[in-house]
Formats: sequence, structure tokens, C-alpha cells
Amino acid sequence: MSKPKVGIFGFTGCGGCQLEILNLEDQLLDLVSAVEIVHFTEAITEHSDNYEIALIEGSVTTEHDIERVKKIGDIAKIIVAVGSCAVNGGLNCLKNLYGVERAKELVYGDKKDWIDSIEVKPIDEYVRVDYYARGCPPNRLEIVDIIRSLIIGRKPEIPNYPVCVECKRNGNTCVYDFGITCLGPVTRAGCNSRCPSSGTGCESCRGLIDDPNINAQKDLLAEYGLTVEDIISQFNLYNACKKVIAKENKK
Amino acid sequence: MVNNLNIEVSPVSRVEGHGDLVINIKDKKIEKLIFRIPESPRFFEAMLVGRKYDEPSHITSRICGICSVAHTFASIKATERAMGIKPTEQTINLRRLIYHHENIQSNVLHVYFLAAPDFFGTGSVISLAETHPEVVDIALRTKKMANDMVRIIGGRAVHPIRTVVGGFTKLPTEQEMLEMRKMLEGAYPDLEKSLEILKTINIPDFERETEYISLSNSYEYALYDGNIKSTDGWEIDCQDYLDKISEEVVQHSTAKHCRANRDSYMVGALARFNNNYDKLTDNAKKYAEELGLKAPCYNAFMNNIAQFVEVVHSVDDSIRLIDKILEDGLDEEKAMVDIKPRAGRGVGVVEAPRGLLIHDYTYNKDGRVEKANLIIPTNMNFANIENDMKALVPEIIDKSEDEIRFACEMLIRAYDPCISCSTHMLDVKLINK
Amino acid sequence: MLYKVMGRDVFKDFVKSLISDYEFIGPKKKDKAVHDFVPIKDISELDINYKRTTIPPAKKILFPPDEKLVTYEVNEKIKVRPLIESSEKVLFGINAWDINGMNFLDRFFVTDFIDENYLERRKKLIVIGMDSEPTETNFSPSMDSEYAKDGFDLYLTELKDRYFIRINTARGDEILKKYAVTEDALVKDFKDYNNYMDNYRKKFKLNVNIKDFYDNFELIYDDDEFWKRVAKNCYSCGSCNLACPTCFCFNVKDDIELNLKDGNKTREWDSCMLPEYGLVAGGLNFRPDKENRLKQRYRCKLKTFFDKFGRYACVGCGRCIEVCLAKINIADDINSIKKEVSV
Repeated sequence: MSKPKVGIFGFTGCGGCQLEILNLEDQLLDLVSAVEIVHFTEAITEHSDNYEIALIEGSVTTEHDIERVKKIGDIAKIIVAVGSCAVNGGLNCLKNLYGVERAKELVYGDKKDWIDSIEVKPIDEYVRVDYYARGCPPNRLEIVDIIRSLIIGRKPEIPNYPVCVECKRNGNTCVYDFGITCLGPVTRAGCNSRCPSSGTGCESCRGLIDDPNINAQKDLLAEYGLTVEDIISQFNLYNACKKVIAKENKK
Repeated sequence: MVNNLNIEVSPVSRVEGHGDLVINIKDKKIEKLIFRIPESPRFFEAMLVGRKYDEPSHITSRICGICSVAHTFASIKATERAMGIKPTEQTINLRRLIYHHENIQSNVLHVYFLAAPDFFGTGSVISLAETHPEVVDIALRTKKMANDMVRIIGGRAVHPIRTVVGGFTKLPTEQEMLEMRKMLEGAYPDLEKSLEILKTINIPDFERETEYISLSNSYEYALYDGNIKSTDGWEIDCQDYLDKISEEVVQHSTAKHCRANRDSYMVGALARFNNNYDKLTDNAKKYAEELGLKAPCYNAFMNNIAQFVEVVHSVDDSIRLIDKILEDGLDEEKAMVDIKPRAGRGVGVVEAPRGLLIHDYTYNKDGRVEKANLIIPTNMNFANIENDMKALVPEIIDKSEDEIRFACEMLIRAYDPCISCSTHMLDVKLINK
Repeated sequence: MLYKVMGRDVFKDFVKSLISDYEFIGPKKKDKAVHDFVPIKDISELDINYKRTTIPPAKKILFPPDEKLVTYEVNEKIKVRPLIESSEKVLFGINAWDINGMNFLDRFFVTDFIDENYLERRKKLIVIGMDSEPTETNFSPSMDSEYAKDGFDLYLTELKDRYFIRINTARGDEILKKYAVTEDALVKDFKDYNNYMDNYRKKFKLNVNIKDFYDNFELIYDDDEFWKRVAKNCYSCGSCNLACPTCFCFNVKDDIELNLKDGNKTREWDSCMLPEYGLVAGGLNFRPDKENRLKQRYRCKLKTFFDKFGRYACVGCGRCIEVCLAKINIADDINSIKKEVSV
């Protein structure tokens, strides 16, 4: 079996997803022997346009990004979106909420026309995405699981159940018991309930499950004293590009 | 030998995350030299507007995956200052402890994964693993130790969870503190081996004196707290940073350039070393001496060595901090202090691995951000990198194109500008006119 | 069953000896409101005056949330090695309804198939029960579970100045003889024990009309409006199952290492409330709606196993009520089914 060629690409983001791959200390050497990494922005000098699997980090936020992501889409047989920014736009989408032109003016003043920046979008707005390694940062073990699954030719098991499942498996006390609000009941698990396990509420960085009970979640947050504005703001932190609330209201 | 030289990375063929370098040389004189970052702008100052006081630290940690702890703390400190929140001594000590380990993790990543391939003449850490597996083993072990420390204290290695305005949402257990102490003790043999390896590498002989700016305080090698201090003899309270540091937008880069006393200054490990040498542990001083690093040092290439010396210091000081925290006893009651949101402005300054990092927030009475200003260390170094290059290139102008290109790449890498632009970058094209 | 009594001072030394000689698991304060059963190294960590635990202690130990079942190695031949972890442990301070929950699992994991992993652990688990304070959501008397008749080695009931001990196994008797000085229980001891139990039962405030459920459930089963109302806020998060002392469903996952040689099969707690529980090969989901899933959960708990084992798969501990952010309340629902049908 020949080793699959993998390219790891960074778009607009913090580089944290690529770092999480480098942080696979115990498995890093196994990883580089299981696949041939031909392109890895953060770690290697050599780069090649000959790859079958593309792992893409970051959102599309410039005209140049669009060109690049489409080119990768033409080459790669399988595309994995890695991290919130690539998967659903992530925090970057807060820029859209503020307004792209307004944001340019705020940060760059009268020099704003020098800056190439467009509305933030997740990569699947431009290319087909086969698998999603969600989260900010993504769970590095899930990235390994996806790569491993691709090598042996099976479908990666990405949970489609809420974070509550992992909280219970971890024996956590629900953070609502401490008066802390949490988006865990509607957020896709797979992070091993990292935030609630650390005593703080889930911010939904992995995005929503397929069939979230948004109305129940809204009721619950309101019961804990959040205003409608607060609730929208909470949902928007990582999911502003997906317009969760707006969509629900139209239903 | 070249008289006329045109080094550039054409914007059309730019590869993602790369810093671009343009140097035009005519009759052995530099006509134009620009170092630019074509990174896509993020607009964090805009994203923060309207967010509640407990969110900016989570949002701004996403500015940079590799120094997310630094952003988290600059942010938390700005908010705490604005609202008059005083965290407990236990909180401050734990913050100092976790802080050391982001610094170790980042410095090790830079020295071994990014800079070392230069020293050993391999293209990347992956090929380095084949030619010098022992070096990669040391790097992976040390990095893992530092990451595990951040995971234990912060909840995860990238974008920590437990570190929040007012304290910690969850404390490490005594058992975990003891485990961490053991991990630190276990790091020394690797530090010794690293010392022997680093002694064998050749650091280019290049000096250009500039202004070095870092945090500084009377009680420790400042990373988490202090005044802003310059080797030009001035020292100011962090809250007054605008009196000395100004930013401007330059056309060739989405990152702003910074100025202080002169037309450029350097921040980062070497600046910290030059300002705070006497606060290093004796052990770290010993390592510095063995590696020929003396304060003040004006060779930017030595930044790599200063980073390694800091790793030694951070390991030493972490053990001291753990003993102190355990002696005082971990107390759940002291994990968090009460927070009453109020209007106000606060500036939080820390030493990110790459240097001085400034967050400046103004809150309204509901505890929502009205205005934010962020100054990132990599931005501070841009102008200085250009000035260094202007000094370096004439010195080596008689060398081959390849050597000039390599020296320029190495110089930029020595600054560890930020992971996505420092790694390997500079797909430099040399065009003889 | 043998009956003994033990003085308060003896009790402390008894516990200390068990802690030093055994792997000892007992309740420890976890945070403001909740205790957790964890390994105890020193008696100062132990807090037997607990009220709430999120995860039932026996389930956590005997049927852990994730458990490696086998490891395998792929070379020319495939080598498979089963993993059965089994060390002797003392489970101290588990209350009656959680013992009854364990008794249910004991029965389940040896009926139809023998679960070696469960059984090995169960054999080596020394169970020492004690009463604990019921929460407001506890209705275990309605489910005949506030008292445990068996399933333990020793059961200690705290009277004013002494402990009333029920000895259920020879192993329990040996341990007691080895580590504590006890006396035979006399008439007065039984009298005090009876008074204690009368008072203890009064602490349970929630009553559930389970007797009429069996038949009425069939009438309400097709009332879609009723189930839509009950399940309206359900998140399909599975918390009710995962925190339940009798829920036993699990999912087996296959993990192979990146070297593509070593691998393992792991089981993890599953939940019938998750949408993908009913998903089968070919893409059909036989329980796609949350109303359907909730209804089925009630049937499993309160009818299926009543038919099969003659006992409910519910001990009335109230954990599912406490952990449900949607405020779905099995006790209310059982009672309202009675009301719906009666009106």
C-alpha cells in the first residue's frame, strides 16, 4: 500500500490547528510514517502540489484565499476542514457582524483601501468538504482518527450527539448547577467536554448537532437571566456565519 | 559575486502564511528593502466591540495559537485593571507557572522545529528526524512536558480554558502539582544534551546595536508583569505605553509597524535578556555563559540562544513556583474573586514568547467593550528586521546569491516573527539584472 | 442474614483498616452540591454524609464509561487478546437504591449472554452499604428500592450510638471478624433499627403511582399529542440514560493505531435518546423523533424488564430528573399518565 500524500494548508486563522498537529508529540513520528506530508505550512520548507488529502485550516477572508482554496479543491481527492475557522467560519465571522467596511475603517483608518478583506466564509462555501474536524482548537486525536480512517478506508466516527454525553461519561457536575450557562446541550461532542470539565460553559466552538433543540436552549438561557441579545451573542461567538438564531426564527 | 540583485517574492506566486522579502540592489547599494507580511487581516479590534467582559480573553487568545496563553493574560490583565479586580496571590503564582510553559513550548518549537533545520542543513523537522533523531527526541520530550503543564493548569495546550478574568475556573490538584514537579526535574538531562548540541552550531557574526524593549520588574525575570523598559534608558508604567510606542499603517503589510525612541526597536527573548539578565537563575546564567551569550548582546541571530537560556530559566523558576504554591496550600476559596463589571479603561501588558504584547480595552458601564487596541510583538519587530537587513546585506554583499538568501532567511527566522511566517518561508527569487 | 452491632469508635478503626488493606472506593465531596465515589487514601477524605452523586457508583466501577475489551495485533496472523481488569476493591457507603440498581445490572449482564468483564469485577467487589439522605427527586420507596435485601456483603445502618449491621455474605462476615469487634444484635437493637427505618422512609417526599402504569401506558402509547408535549424540550442528550443506575446500553468502537498494526476494541456508554441509536445499516432510523425515543425509554424501564425480570429497570433514584436540563420528569409523567387516563 503506497502512503497517501497529505497537504496541510493554512488560511485565515491563528495557526493553532496546525500547532495541535505538531502537539501530537506521542504520535507525530507515527503520523509522518503513515502518510507522506508533502506540504505543511508551519513545519516544513518543501512543498508540492501533488497530494491526495488536503487538511485545511482557517477561513476564507480575502480574494486571494478564494483562488487558493479553489486550487486545492481541484487537486485534492479528499478535503478535511480542520478547526472552527475552516468548518464554520469560527470567530472570524464576528467581523461580518461588525461589517467588513466598518471593520477596515476602524482598524486601518484612511488607509483601509490598501487592505484585501472580504466577508468571512467557511471553506465549504467554495469547495466540497468531505470531513470536518471541528473545534477551536480541534481535538488532535480526532484529526488522527480522521487520517487513520482515510488510510484504512472507513468512515471516521464524528459524534452527532451533544457535549452532555461526554460530560456524563466524564462524571462532571453540570455547570448549570453552579449557575454557569453552557451551550453543551446543542453542541456537537467530540471535544471530550473540555470546557465543562474545566468548570466553564461550552461556547459551541464545534458548532451544533444536526438536530439541535434551539428553542429549549433559548428557554433555558433565558431562565438563567440572559437577554435575547445575550443569547444571540453567545450563539454567535463561533457560529455567526451559520446564523443559527435567524434560521430558527424563519421556521 | 553580484553587483545588482533583485530578491523578491512575487505577490502572485506567494505561498500562504509567508512573509515576503523584497531587496533590490544596484551597484552594491540597496535601492529598496521591504519585509512584508501578506497574512490576511483578522480585525480583532472590531470583533471585540460590544463583547461582554468575560469574552475578550477567549476571543483574543485566537489571535495566535502558539502564544494563546500570552494573549489570554494580556487580555485578562487589561480587563482586571479596567474593573479594579485584584486576583489572589495564588492566582498570580499559577498564572506565572503556566506562563513559563507557553514560553518553553514556543521557544522549543522555534529553536528545534524551525531554526534547527537551518543549523543542521535539513529542510524541515521531518528530515531532521531522519538525520538527527536524538535532536528531535529531545525537542519532542521538552515540548510535550511544557504542553502537558499547560494542559494540566489551563485545561488544554492551545487556547487555555481555566484561566479567566478573576482567577481560575478549576485548580490543579496537589497530586498534579507534584507530578508537574517530577516532569520538570526530568527535563534537566535533555537541557544538558541540548547545551552540548547548541555549542556545536555556528551563529553568524553580525552586530547592530538597536533599542531593546521589554517588561522589567524588581523581583523576577519579567514575563507576566512589570514596567516597560528600554535599553535607551527610559522606563514607564504599562498604562502609559502610548507615551512611547506608536503604530503606523504601512502599505506593504497588513501588520502595522511600531516606533519608540528611534525608528525601530527589538522585542523578544534577546530584548528581555538584555534588560533583565541579572534576574535569571544562576543555572540559566551558567548556560548563557557556556553558549557565549553576554548582556548586552547586539547580534539578532543570538535570539535563538536567548530563547534556549529562557527555557532553562523557566524550568528552574517553575520548580520554585510549585514549591511556593504547595507550601502556601492550594485553596479553592482563592481560585476566583468577585467581579463587578464597571466602566473604565485598562492596559494589560505581558511578554509573549516573541516579545512585548499590549492589550488596551475601554469598557462601558454594562461591562461591554467600547474600544480595543492591540499591539502584537511581531509588528514591533518588522521595522527592526528591515533595519537589520539593511545593515547585514552590505556586509555580505560579496558572497554568493545563495549565501545572501540563506543569511536573510536565517535572520528573519531568528526573530521568530510568528509561526506561519517564520518557518521556512522566503521562497526567494534572485534575479540578476 | 446475620445481624450484629458495632460501636461508633470501632467503626472508625474498621474503616481505617479497610482503607489501608484494600483498594477502597467511597464518597468524597466533589464540589458544592455533589459527591463522587473515588479511591480513598485517607479517612479524612471520606464523607459518608452525602446526598447527590451524578454517576451511580456501582455502574461507574463495574461498567465503566469507556472500557477496552480486547487489544489486537495485525501481522501475518491476527492476534487478539481479551482484557479483563479485575482487582479486589471495597465499595463503601453505597446506598440501598444504588445497590438495587446494581442488582439489576447483575441480572442483566448474566442473562442472555455472560459479560465476563462485568462479572469478573462484580465478583471481586466487596460491597458495604450505608443509607444516604434522599434528594427531593427521589421516589425509591414507590419502586421498592429504598431498602436493599441483597447485593451487598455488609450493610451498616447508623443508629444513635452504634451501627446496626446486616451481614449478607460469608465474605462480609470474615471481613467483619477480621477488622472489627462486634456484638450480636439484640431485641433492643432491632427495635431501634425499626424506628430508624420508619423515620428514614418519611424523608422521601415524592410518591409515584407506578401500580397503574403497566396497563395505562398502552392506552396513552399512541397519543402523539401527549408525547409531543412531554418531549418538547428534550435535547436528545442522553443525560438521563448515562446517569441512570440501570441503563446498560453500550457501543463498541474499533481503534487501530497509526502504525496500522496495533488496535483495540473499546466499549462506551450509549444512550437510546441519541438520534443515531436507532440508525441501522442502509440508513434507516427506526426511532427518528425525540417523542418516540422518550416513549420507548419509559417502556424499557417500566414495562419491558418488568415482563422479563419481574422488576423495573428503575429504582427511583431521581438522577434522570436532576440531570435533565429540559425538566423532563419521569415521576410527574408516570403520575400524569394515570391522570390522563382517569379524566
